Amino acid sequence: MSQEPEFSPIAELAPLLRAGSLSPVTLCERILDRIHRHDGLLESYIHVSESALDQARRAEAEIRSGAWRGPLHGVPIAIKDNSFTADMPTTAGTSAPGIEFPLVDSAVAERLRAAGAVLIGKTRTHEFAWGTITPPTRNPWRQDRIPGGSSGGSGAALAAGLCLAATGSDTGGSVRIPASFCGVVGLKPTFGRISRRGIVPHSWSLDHPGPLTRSVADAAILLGVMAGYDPADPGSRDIPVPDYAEAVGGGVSGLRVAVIRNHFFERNQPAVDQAVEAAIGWFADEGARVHEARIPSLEYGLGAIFAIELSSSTAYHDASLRAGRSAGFAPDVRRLVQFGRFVTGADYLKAEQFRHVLMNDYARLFETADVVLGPTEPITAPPIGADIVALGPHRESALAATWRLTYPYNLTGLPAITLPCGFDDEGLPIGLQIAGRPFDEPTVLRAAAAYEKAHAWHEQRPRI
Amino acid sequence: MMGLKEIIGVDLPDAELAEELAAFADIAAAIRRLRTLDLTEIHPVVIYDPTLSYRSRAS
Repeated sequence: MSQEPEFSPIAELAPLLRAGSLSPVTLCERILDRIHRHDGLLESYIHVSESALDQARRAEAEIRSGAWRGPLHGVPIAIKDNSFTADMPTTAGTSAPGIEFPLVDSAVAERLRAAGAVLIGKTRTHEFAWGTITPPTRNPWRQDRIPGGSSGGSGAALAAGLCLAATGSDTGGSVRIPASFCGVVGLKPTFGRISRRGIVPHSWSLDHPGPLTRSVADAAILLGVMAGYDPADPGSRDIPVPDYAEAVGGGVSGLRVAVIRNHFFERNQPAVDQAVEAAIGWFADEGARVHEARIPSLEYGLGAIFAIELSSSTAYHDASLRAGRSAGFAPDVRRLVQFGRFVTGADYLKAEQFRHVLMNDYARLFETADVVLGPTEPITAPPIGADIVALGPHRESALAATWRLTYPYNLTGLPAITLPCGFDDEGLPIGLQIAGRPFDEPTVLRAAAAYEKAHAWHEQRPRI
Repeated sequence: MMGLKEIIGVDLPDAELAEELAAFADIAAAIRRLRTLDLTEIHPVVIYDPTLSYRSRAS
């Protein structure tokens, strides 16, 4: 074990838990103690499970009896608060009167529970997963900075050692944005890989559940547990789940790497460009075949994702809007939820047509590439309250900037991972994004794990 | 204005609607750019599936 257990990867802890040299109860107590000491400041959890220690005791008894369920057995994992849980309330980040969610397990919670995980609490989300700020959660690296969102509570809790992994959901970047800002790994798998059953919908064809973890190997472990066909989710695909943990051992020699120079490198903070260029250079030095590419159609992507996301969100919240329940939403979210009224049906369908164009463009790119490399975010975590961010001479709304480089993979449904690749001069993490072909998470994980292994970025931790 | 509000289903006073539309300006610009594309020959990615309800019942 390289560090204290609460900062160690699950892949390192699992053998200790299985062998009995680390107790799930001790691990759970340590995490609960850290939540008690630090979450008053960070506010990453909205609910901490009353049954966490009981879950840990059950796991310990099972492991002692020889009934080890796998690498998540006895591991404290946090659940994003838009994912239903049978033993903890779900709010989806809203306190609006008249909105309630059932006490049942989502598919994600059900699968993690079956794998023996200790579901330790619910992490804060930007209301209805609509935003990238996640108030009132603070970024553990600098507490005057946002953690990103919408899975901001998950990113902050993980970075601060308040859980061993967490779940998120990603509609325009909501797993990868907080993972990048908080210096952890975030994986948005292919659309249909993980069931959305029991997750409060945001935009039906863009929502992707995914894990936030301390290492790429941990992302592989969680994906292996969370993935699988679910007939209750119309988007779920009945495709066998490979052994993702096997994928993380290979190198990158001979890997065909594309770097899309338009869109992803046009308006980034200099520290982001430097860190990502250094990472691209590392892949080339290790024998990957790096080539540059362009996807001109990306310039139309923003209009497409706005048309789909806004109209979907308005459709989902239509009854609340009509009944006046949306009066209780935060002003920024209420506005976004209403904006779908201004999107025409033709705009929506044109966006779905455009999506086909973009998917074809990526398919052509993947004829000569195995993965695509680029930055996850054009910026590091902006200050709390900053509506506008500076990108060299450019100024851009924080919302537009934070999802600009992530949403292409929601429109296309392709798997994309973020992992730390450096820090800016304020000590804030920078994320490297690696995307791949549909359902080719193994290649994405292999590339990410090889980079991670050769660098120590993921071993850095914030001082809180 | 009232007719348009009814068509799009917005129940806001005129002043508030004007404020919302102003806030929507950047998004509207992005959508206007999308409208300039000629996608006549492109099928939307959303495919209608008449077997969906039958598959759901089977599960």
